[in-house]
Amino acid sequence: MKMVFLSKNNKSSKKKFLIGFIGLLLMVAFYLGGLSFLTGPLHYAGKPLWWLKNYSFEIVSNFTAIIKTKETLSEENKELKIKLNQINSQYLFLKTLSEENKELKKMLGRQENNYKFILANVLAKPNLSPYDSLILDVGENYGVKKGDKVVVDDTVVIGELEEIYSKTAKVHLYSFPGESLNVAIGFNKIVGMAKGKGGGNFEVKFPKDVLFEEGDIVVLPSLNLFFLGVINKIIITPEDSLQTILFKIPINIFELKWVQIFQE
Amino acid sequence: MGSNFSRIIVDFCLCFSIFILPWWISLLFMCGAFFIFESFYEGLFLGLTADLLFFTSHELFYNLPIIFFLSLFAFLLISFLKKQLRLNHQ
Repeated sequence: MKMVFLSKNNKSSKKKFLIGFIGLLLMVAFYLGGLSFLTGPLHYAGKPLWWLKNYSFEIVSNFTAIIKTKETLSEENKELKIKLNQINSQYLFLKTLSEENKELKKMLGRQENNYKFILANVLAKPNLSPYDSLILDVGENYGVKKGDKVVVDDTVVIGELEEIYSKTAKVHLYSFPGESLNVAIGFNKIVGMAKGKGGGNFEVKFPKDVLFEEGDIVVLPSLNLFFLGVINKIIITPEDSLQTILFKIPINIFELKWVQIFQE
Repeated sequence: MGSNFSRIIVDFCLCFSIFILPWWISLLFMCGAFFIFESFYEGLFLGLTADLLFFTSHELFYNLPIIFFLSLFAFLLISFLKKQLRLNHQ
């Protein structure tokens, strides 16, 4: 009987083909959502690790505060007290304006819908992946739904829930690079298409003759209650007929600990 | 080439790294492991695991699982480079 042995080259090319084929198969399965049943258990496994990481970071940052000298601490304390007083008076003023705004809306027949917030702990922050996503510790157990808006400090909207698992949820941040989003800018709410630049930054282009100022507020047209960001730079070049407006979320998304899920 | 025991240790470390470290550091470690160990298929599965953990739909790369795609690319490239290095050595 004659035996036929495969040459080494033939074997290795078959192996490579098989790896490529399995890789392609996995990618297609992933694309079609065939592997998403694994995400819930993986989040469950990752929860203690993320918790441990966040906790150890907190300990380290507390430790650095202890190392600081008494003098620097007392100076910092004084500065913070002054700032707090200023912010308190501004807050009172804004609160009065907000109440007045509500009353006026009521008088004009625009009732605000009832809504509630669900507080969620941020388990994983955007720097862990290239996706600009957050993982939260609330899921079906808290009755959250796909598409619920994710808010920080009652006022800033940063993204929406994309996938809900039994005890965790994935947040898709609006600032994902290349992601398009309708926004309304300034007091006149001029609508444009913003593009995410990652890490809470956005870019939007408008004709030069539309006037904006640094510090103008950007909101989502469908959601007037919250704002998305503040204009921090306007780039105008003589050769370009459009002006580029850069705005960013007024919080550092890499330092987020808690977020709120907005439910109408 | 690394022994089986060191391979298991690296597997564990990489597994932890995808949960804790930024994705690009895990990917660099993965590339190192692809280079040190023969047929380090675990790296591909860890890449897929990272994507399963964090993936959200996106327009930029046609909804591709980026980490898995990059790890597969690194795996094939490093396998090719290793083969070339061996041939040159001979």
